[in-house]
Amino acid sequence: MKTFRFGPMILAVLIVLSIVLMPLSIERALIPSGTVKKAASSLDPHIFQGMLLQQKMLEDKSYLPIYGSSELLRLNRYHPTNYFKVHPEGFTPFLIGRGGMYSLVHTLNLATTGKALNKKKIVIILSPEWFTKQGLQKVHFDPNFSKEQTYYLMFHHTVNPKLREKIARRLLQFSFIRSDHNLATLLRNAAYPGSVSKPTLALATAQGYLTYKVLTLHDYLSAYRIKPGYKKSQRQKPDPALADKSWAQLKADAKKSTASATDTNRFHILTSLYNQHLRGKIASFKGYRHTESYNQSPEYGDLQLLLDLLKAKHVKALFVSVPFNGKWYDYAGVSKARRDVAYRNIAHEVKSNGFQLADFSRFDSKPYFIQDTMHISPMGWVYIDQAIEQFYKKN
Amino acid sequence: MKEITADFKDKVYSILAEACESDEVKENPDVRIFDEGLLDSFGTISLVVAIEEQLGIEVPISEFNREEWATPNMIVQKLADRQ
Amino acid sequence: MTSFIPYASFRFFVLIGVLLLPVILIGLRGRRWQAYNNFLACLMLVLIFGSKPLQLVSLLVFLVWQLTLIRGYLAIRQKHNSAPIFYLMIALSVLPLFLVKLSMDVSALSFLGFLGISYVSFRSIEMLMNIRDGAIKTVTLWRVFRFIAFFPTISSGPIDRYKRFEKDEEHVPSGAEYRTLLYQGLNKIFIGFLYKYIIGYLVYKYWLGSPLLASNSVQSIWLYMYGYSMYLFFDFAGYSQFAIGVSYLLGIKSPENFNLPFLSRNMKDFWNRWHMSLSFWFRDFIYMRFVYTAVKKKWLKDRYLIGDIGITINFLVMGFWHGFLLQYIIYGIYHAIAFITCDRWERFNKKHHLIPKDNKWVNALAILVTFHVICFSFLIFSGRLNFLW
Repeated sequence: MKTFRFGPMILAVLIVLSIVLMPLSIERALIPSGTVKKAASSLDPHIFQGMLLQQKMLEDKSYLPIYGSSELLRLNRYHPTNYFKVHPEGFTPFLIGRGGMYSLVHTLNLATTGKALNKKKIVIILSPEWFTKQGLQKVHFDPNFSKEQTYYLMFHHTVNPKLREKIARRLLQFSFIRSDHNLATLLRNAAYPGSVSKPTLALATAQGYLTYKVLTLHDYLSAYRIKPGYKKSQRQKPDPALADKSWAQLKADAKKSTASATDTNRFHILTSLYNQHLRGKIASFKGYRHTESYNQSPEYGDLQLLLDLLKAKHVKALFVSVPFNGKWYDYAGVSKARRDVAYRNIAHEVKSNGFQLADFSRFDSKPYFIQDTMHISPMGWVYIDQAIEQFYKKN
Repeated sequence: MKEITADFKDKVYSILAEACESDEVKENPDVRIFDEGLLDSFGTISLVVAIEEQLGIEVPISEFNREEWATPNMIVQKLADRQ
Repeated sequence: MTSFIPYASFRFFVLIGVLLLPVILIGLRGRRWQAYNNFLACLMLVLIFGSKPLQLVSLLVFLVWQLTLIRGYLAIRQKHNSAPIFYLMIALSVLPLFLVKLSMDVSALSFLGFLGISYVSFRSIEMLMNIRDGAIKTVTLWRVFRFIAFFPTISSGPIDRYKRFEKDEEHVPSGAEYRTLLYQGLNKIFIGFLYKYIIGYLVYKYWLGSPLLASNSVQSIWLYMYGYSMYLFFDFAGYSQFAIGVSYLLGIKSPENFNLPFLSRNMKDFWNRWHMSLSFWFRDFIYMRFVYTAVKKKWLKDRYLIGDIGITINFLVMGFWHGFLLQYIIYGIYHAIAFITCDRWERFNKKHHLIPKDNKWVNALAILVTFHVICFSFLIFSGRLNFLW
């Protein structure tokens, strides 16, 4: 008589299932201490795509998260990460952002932080060039969209139903999201309650939940291999000499260094960048954005979603309004009057929702706040550092 | 089923020995000729052609599978069935 | 519609787990519910190919085409046995596969293909050959359909044989027999997970994916060669275990595909251990058919030369079957040369007794040499050497 050993097979299935279905709280707890510290200035996109490290970071009072986009990768010695290292004010900046991370991406980031977000202090850097007629496009959203976060939003009710409905409706406007069958079904049910039949919903929930748990497992595992999301050349070391300088001195120093790197052309764009990409074909950029306007943009709606979320969670947020490079935009065919519309709208929206705004739009037509067509310069960072410090101390 | 004569048996064995290029098949009629490497696909063809020419028994090669035609004895039996 | 590529996703395993449940429960009672099996055969085709409607249509047209050829040829064959008609039938049966293989280079034809067209063609050609030999005298359409479109093995084999399949279908296993089949089948599926999704995955990710192998230096290509060979084996052997395991659950003992190929003592031995169902198919239906015809009709005096030509044709066709690309053709020629060399040497050694056969050290050396000859062939196959030509 043959003996059958079905036991080991059943055990294997159980082990795999228990690993995959491990609760989020256990996965979060299993992340080794020290990982958050390593992640804080890594700018590894896995962190923004995931949730576990962001949640763990928010549980720790010593971190001040800064949400933004590609400007965060310019890690020069005046960047908040470097400056507050040599000049500690009781917090470590935790950077969340890369190119294309518009308000909607951050809404998802923040909506999936669970309870830890309540009454936290955070900083959000807004870029005026997001607020175009088209707003967030697939090219930027697709690589930054997190399925894991969206599933979380569908399976955990940490956001109030009305807002959840609005976020789901907005997400469904993107065809690449609609093409993910299970996720789209869940979103449709959240956006238009009762619109999805029970069996369809049940199937999508079951399949989606498995996908979601595999994604969270990936999220957990990626905590073990955090890699820098920036290029080596983008990062300078912290400079201890900055520690004891006054704001005025810092501004003067940073202005000088920005000027020496950008003064070779009338737009005050980094010399190396300008020579490599623009000088030869500068004529082709004349008026190339002349149709652009900022009076109407889906981005204002996306920003409102973000503001609604922060209000509901009683978050103390500092918004930073960054200027355009005025000289460059004049040349590109976008008049000051049109740019002012963006500044005004952003300021009005942020303030009328009761949030603090550090408005640097006054640097629009002055050189040195921006070091190329859109990224913050060393001098720009000093002004932002000062605003962050004031904000952190006051609240 | 036809009776297998000693003469028929000897004939098959010698055809087989020639195809295998070895007399081992005569000494051990239960040796598994494919497993032992005595006969390969090429030898199989020689065998099938020789059987056809010398015994007048036609065996389609698709019928000649290695499980049912595994030993000299089995081959004798199979051929006797087809006679 | 969601796609269900066989054994490619977790979803697929859950799906067949659910759909096979009735089969298993009925099987354990020593019964078979043929109507459900027919339903399952159709449903699985729709699920596997349904995400691309064009593929599904191609598949259905193709299946009707093959079934018509088989049924039609059987009717003709019963009246008279004519060689030209037989060759015509084979040509018509191969035609779609040929067009699809060609379409990889001719974009105008690219709408034709579907997953697993080769394997369905192999099964169909095998049936035509057997009908010609008189080995298959009657068929039922349902069974031919279940055979050539057998879903567990439809995408990449193993290639079963009709008579063997028929035998399994006609014998309904008793409860105890089914229990054994279930156990063996599940065991195979688990080995498949180990091979494909653990070992194969790790080799792919950390060995082949290692930045150390990116340069075109001799060392990195050498290391890539071993890695690729291991990956090819574990990925495909793992897949085969899934396919065979699922067949077992359906009461069909699909043939094995691999038998420790890296322990082969020579090239002949290797082709009896590597992708066996394919290599046996080629052996039986290309090499043996050719050599048999050539010997019988006395095309050449030297029989060994006929054998060598047969081997060359065999491996060249196999090369072209992989695709009309230079790397596959070189792979075929390389294997033909290796095989013929091995064959000649064996015959020479048999006569002159230069090296004893049953010596431990000789065996170990033979395995090592054969292993490297094989790995090098896979290196050609992988396309990693394409920068050379």
